[in-house]
Amino acid sequence: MENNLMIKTEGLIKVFRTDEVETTALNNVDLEVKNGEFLAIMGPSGCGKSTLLNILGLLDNPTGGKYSFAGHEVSGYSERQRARLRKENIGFVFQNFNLIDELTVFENIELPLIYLGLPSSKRKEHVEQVMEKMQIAHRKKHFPLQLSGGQQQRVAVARAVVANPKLILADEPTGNLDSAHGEEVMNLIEKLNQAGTTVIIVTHSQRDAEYAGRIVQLFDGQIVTENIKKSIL
Amino acid sequence: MIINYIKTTLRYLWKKKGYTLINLLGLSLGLATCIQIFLFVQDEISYDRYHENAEHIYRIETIWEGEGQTEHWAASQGFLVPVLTERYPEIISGAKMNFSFFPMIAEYEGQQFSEKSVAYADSSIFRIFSFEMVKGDPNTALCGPEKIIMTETTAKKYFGEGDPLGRIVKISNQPYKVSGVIKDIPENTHFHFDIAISMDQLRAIGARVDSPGPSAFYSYFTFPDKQAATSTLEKVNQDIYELFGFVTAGDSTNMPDGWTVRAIFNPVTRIHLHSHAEKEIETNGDISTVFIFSAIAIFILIIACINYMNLATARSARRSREVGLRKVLGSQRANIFNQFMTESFLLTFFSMVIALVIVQLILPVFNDITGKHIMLDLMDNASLVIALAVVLIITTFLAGAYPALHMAGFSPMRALRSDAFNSRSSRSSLNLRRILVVSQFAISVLLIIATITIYRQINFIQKKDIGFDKENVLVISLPDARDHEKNKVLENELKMLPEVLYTSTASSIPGERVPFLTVRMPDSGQEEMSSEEAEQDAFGIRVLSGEPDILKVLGIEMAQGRDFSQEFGTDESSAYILNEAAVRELEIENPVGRRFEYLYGLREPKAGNIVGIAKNFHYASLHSEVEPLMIHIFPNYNRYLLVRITPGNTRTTLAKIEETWNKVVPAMPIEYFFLENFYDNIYKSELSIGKVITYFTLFAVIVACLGLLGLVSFIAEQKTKEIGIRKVLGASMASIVQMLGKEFMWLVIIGNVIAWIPAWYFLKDWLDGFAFSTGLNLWIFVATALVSLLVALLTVSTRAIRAAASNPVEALKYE
Repeated sequence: MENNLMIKTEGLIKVFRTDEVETTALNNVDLEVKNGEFLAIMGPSGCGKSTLLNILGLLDNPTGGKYSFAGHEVSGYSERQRARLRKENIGFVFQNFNLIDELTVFENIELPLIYLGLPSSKRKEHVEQVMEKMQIAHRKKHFPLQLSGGQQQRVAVARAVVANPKLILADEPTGNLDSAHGEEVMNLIEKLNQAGTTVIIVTHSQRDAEYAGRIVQLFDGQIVTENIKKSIL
Repeated sequence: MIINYIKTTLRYLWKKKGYTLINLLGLSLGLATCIQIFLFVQDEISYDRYHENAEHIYRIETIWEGEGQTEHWAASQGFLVPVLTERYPEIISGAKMNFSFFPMIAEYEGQQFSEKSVAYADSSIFRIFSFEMVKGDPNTALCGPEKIIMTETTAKKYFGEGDPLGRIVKISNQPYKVSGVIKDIPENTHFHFDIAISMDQLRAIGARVDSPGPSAFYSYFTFPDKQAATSTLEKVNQDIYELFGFVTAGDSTNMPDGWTVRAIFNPVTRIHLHSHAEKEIETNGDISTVFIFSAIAIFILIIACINYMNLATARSARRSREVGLRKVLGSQRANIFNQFMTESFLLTFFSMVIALVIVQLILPVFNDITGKHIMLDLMDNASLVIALAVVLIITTFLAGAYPALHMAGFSPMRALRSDAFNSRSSRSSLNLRRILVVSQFAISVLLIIATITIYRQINFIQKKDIGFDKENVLVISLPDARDHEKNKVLENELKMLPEVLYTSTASSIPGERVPFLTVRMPDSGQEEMSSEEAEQDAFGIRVLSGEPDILKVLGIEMAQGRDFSQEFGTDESSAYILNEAAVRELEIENPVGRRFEYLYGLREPKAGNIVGIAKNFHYASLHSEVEPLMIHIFPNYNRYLLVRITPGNTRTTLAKIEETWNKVVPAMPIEYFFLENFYDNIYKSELSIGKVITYFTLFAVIVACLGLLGLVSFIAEQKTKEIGIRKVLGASMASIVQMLGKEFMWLVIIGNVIAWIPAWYFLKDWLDGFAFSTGLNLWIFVATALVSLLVALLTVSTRAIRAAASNPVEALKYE
């Protein structure tokens, strides 16, 4: 059973301190995510969704508690160790796409492969493949600012999956998109999950959450309810 | 409103301590450099301007041209002042001075002093120069023989607080009455004296003061205006051959074939920076130094302002929300502009205060390097205060206007979004910043290359074989060159010491100006000429007079013939030695044995023969080839006693020499120095320029590094998002530092290449000024490039590592 776990947190705590204020963003979060699962994290603004996603994505360290990622205890990892694990295992999709304006569509998607040290010919092959899949091959020489929001998010998803990560983390992936484009992106993510990739999304949208097999409700830094879709049971 | 600006500014500066520190430091260092250069330039251009008539005082100089040579003389013959004043009514007054080149012994109530700065002066100097008379009457103080005036400090040395007027001081055993005391002569004057003896004294002993004679005087005139000076000069040049007695009958001159002479009136205010004639009274400055330093000052100030601009705009991304909010709340464009200008003004003002403190603290070092006595006195330096005010305003605008306009121009909607800063216009200004970083590195590199080359050259000339042995030679100043008897006793006593190898008195020593005196070479076998013919045949050559062991003391080798020797009883009266340069330039075949005459200052020529040819030795600096030189035995002008001592045990030897001195000259303390130290001093101005340039290079490099830090902060700030994204996608810290660093390395390399061209041009020109030079070496350029790259890399790394090490969430959370 343990071997089937991608993510396990126990008593996860995250506290933000400024000169005057101390804010507890996460308070004793216990969470398990299995390989191949599609999880949605929901909750009101400021409940700690993004903070949790950042810690799960190894972008940030927790203040306390345990975090095991693919069998590694990572809560005490340095930025260098986290970076290595991150680039080999995790793909990110952000609400505001986070594409580099100075790079073309092709170059943006290519970046993770460069950091993985793949040779140029291999990179080209991978990028071409993923662009075909995301239907953006015809835009490969365009810059992000020349694309529509939906197209930009497709590029971001393409970039997230190009290195075949085990886990995709998406923070409000449809937040900046109209409903038609939003659905398009969610369908893409669902397809990836069906192909075996574990997916965790943070969302406000009930409709997006419906794509997930399990929904976790977060409130004031704590998990308050977990819903498992019947179809999965 | 203004209070609100100041309050916001002070709080902001306090909150951003690191940013404030870099900004203050950069601007303060830039301003401190400018203030120092300002004071230096102010001092240099102030020479002789304190005279009331400064603009209308001129020194007459003569330029002799012929046989491909030009001789420009600062000194002139004594007759010019009385003759010109009499002949040309436009001249308001004229006065001449003469400076004693050797120390004179002064005695008062049994106390003896060696006075090194004694002049002879016409009584009319007070009508030309504004020497402030503290005691005595300027109209009569120097009228009549046996009168002297002295400076306040000198008077205090002799008489303490007592009244100096009327007291009798003996100088070279001649009694003089003190008839005036003047304020000390300011540093910024092209000549100085502690005591001035009335010129009438020289007249009284029958010296050729007002008639044609030696060019030993410095003649000054005042005119009502420039026009009068110009028209008088024209007349002087029309009459010049007659004035100098070259016209024999009608208009035909009896000047030597092919030679011409003309006079110039050199404005006294130009002498220090522009005059480099033969027989200058003191070593003058150089206008090019003033230009170079002024250019450096302007560059450093511009660099410091640019850096301020860079840092301020780099930070504006962080402040765009504040600006947006202020705009939403009703702030006008002008309000925002004023707010940032206030900030710029306050920072500049603080920087200026810090700069003044820095200058006050490091002025002693600066004075030590430049050999000046500059003081920072805001109460007594109106032009400095005005300059500071102007610089404050200009710097406030130069440094503040761009960021102020930039931020005032934000639209409130855009300003509230944090990508406001990532606009196209800020990207084009990034190119401007790159150009500016390249230029400040180019300036720094230029200065570094100049510093290395100057030091290499100085090192080269100090190590070059100079043809004589400057080590272990002690030079003792003789109290009175004319007291041959006492000098002989001293010399003989010293010779008895086992540590003393050779001794000789000498008129000059290597490293100082060896005088150009008149000699003649009668063709062998020719009958005696009349004195008139002989005078026509005379020519000038540098002359070193000494005693029989002079060549042995200096360790000079013979090329032909023999050295002076006591064995030939006649050497003192008739032996001459030339150097190889003289033989070559005068084209003398078989020189040894040829007849030779010394004429200078003698009624009858001292006739004799060339007995030997000495190998060339560098008695002047390596700026020039070795010039022709004649050496003979002639103790009349010998003001030094040279003593070659055995190496090692210098302290004991010196103690013995002092003991001997005290026995022979009990009334005076011994004054001595080592020839080596003195000779090395001829490169004082090069060493001083080297030191000053090193000093400013250091400032320029620090300011440039701060600039680089500013730019890297700017770019890191601008690329925060990109760095965050790259890190999320797996970029390592090294790859981020590399990404940020690569560009800067290119900027520094471009800066280097740009600096190479002017560096090559100017330094080659400077090295060409030496007859012997080390040349320009490629490795200096390469090494400078490497050093600048290393310094840049370190600077960039400090900021880039911080950017790369930041948590990627930090970079993205504002999105």
